[in-house]
Amino acid sequence: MSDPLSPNSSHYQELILITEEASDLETNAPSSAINTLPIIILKNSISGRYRGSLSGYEIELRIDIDGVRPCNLISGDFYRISGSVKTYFGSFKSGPLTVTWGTSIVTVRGTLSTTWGTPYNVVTITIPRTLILYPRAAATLTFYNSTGSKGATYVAAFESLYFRTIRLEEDYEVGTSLFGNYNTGSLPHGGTARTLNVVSAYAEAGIQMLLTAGTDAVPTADAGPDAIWTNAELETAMHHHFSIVSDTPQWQTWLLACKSKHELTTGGSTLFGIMFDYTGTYQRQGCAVFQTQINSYYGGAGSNDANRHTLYCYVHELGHSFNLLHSWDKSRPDSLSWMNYDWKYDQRHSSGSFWANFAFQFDDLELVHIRHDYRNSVIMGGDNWATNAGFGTGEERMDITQPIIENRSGLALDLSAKSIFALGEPVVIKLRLHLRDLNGKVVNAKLHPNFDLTKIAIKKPNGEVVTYEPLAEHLAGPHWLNLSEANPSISESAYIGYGKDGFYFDQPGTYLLKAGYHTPEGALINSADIKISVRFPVSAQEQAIAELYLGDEQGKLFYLLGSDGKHLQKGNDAFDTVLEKYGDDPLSVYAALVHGVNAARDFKHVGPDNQVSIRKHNAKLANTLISKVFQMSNEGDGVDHITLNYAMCKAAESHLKSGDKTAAKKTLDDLKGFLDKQHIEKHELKKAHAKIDTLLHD
Amino acid sequence: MPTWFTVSFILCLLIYDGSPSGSVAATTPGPMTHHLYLALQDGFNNDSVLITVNGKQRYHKSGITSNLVISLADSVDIPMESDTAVISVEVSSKQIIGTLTVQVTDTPYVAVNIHNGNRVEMIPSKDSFRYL
Repeated sequence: MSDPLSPNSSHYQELILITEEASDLETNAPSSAINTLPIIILKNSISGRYRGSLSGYEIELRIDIDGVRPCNLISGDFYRISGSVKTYFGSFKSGPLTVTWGTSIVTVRGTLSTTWGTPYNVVTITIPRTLILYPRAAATLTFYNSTGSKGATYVAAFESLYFRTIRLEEDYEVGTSLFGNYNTGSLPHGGTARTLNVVSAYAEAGIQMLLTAGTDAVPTADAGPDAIWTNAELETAMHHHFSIVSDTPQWQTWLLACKSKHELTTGGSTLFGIMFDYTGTYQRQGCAVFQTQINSYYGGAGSNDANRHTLYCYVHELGHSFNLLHSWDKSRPDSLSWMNYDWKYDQRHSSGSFWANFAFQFDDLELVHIRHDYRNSVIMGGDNWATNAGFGTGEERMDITQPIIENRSGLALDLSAKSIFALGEPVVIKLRLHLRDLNGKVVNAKLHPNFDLTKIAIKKPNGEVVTYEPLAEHLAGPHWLNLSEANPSISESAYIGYGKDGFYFDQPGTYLLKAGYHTPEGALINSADIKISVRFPVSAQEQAIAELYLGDEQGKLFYLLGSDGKHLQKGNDAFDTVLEKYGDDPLSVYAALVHGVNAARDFKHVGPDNQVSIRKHNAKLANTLISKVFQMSNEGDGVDHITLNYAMCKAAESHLKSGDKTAAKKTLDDLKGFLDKQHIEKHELKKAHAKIDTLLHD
Repeated sequence: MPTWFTVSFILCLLIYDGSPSGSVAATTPGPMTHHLYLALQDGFNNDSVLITVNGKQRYHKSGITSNLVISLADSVDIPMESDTAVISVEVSSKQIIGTLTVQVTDTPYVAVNIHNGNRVEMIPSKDSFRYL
């Protein structure tokens, strides 16, 4: 089988007509001969994938200026190497390039768009040209800002003729078999007649498909007792049979050749294939082709027409996995592409015209997408289906995703939160750091983002990406903790609604959050992204409470969990108003929490003459307010168990300081009862109980 | 218990060769049933759609959205007694309406699209629609 991207293919060697301008070094021939006869010298092409590293960053560079259907673009991805962990950092792609072909060197200049903000968005790349039979040379990239100041310089070695490499696993339902090759010259066709299969069709597009060895026969029983596939059954089958399935963005995808039909095949319509993984998180990992339906429609298995449509369907569905939309959804209904429908094209032209003209290829803008669009727009499990899907309109976007590519730290970080918050409601997240295997690990247990180990990235509804910055730096020595099989995780809850940048969630809409934790070895462990929504107030009362909560002083009070500070008086007044006027509203629990915790502790006032006076704790007030928080939390309308644990321990301490051990015991017994009802891991519950007991016995 | 005569009579009916004189279908003609298949395909986005065929309401749903994976929002299978169908598709959420008359016996499949968000486009076909 011919491979147009193989190193030995003539497609990838350029015929260079050497004239008198050529150097002796390149031709290695006497100059007299050059003057009389042109000598043809074969040189390697430049296009392909290059890789290099510098100061903890790795660059994957894609140069696309010659070879088969060049897009005349460059693009690339940066990865951060941190300890034993490699994380995606960001992507760049060029606009139109200026390419200068010298006899011994190629120089490429272009302006870049990037997924992160940088002034160094102009690049010059030089690549020495090498003779065939010699290795391709490394590319040297130097970045500049708009005034011409030099940024970083990378040297990236040639890696592959392919721009991207994908692992493809093909499984089949028992009773059918995987499709092989089709000779495009078997029926009327456009383009050059050639034998194609899925791998070579993608190779022509510059994408290397590496078939896994995990081909599996999927029983029809996986399609349910009715033997009719649903998307849910296909998804389940993927998780059972895809040998390398992984719910993270990965360059890998799964195709199932089905014997049984899909439920969307009805009397008036037939489904030949579907990229079924278009809901939930980490989409675009799997697709299915319904071969019996194709064979029935096109003259039976083995007919040229059935073979042609089966190949087309395989390539088309995998195209969706690359986040390619149908041609007409990209305003290109007349595109002769794998991503068009033959019958839709024929409706606009004439019967049979699609196949008579189709050259069995993607269109130019689709090539740009799969070769050069930002990594998360293309990679399986990256952006959701149809998001940033290569419309060819130069759309841009920012994202906060820096998923781990290789995590050998033995640790994982979970991030969770309520899915919906009222406007003004304090946004509290839960962080959980845990072992990924049974090997013990010593970690710094300062998990709260107030300490510098954990960072929270927030993508706002307007697309702006910010990092949560705590109001004050909390400097503290490490708290080393051994995570083991018996004690495999630590958890922390954190208020991230207000920080150095003010309120982070002060607009209704959907926010995307991600957490990152620095391990003692310096590696960065990222959580999965989570979505939270801040909803519009649904009543005048909610609107009033939102206004009372969304003030700078109130934000600081939420952050500090209360203060007597005179400069925060307006905030305390607002909380008083919430408790007095809207005490029955579930949102009043936060005002009660802040005032309650503050009442439970002594507060030091420093006077103008630096004299310190102490406002003593108020056990009665603390008890009243924190009991309200307890009650509401017990009814499911309050705060998370970690926050409640903190508040009730403060209330108990206040009782103890007042000498009321009975009240303290009752508070802590209530707390224990509450915690026992929560879904808390056994070892963490045991730790919480032990801490409560210590409090009482001290 | 059935008599020998009854059994023989039933057997005779079962092996009857279907000559015109004895055809039940020929002697007692009933309504010929065709099917009209309407496929709501592209351009729908949380729309309310009302379909009438030959003056009768046959479909009324809201929240109709095209699934970009296969470019299909919904489909309707309508049994027809007449050969001709006058189809009216009203997308009330976009305040647009389209009408088409088709010979169901020739083109029983009709694709319904919303073109540029402001026009109902209906394309009849003799072949069923294939999605991928």
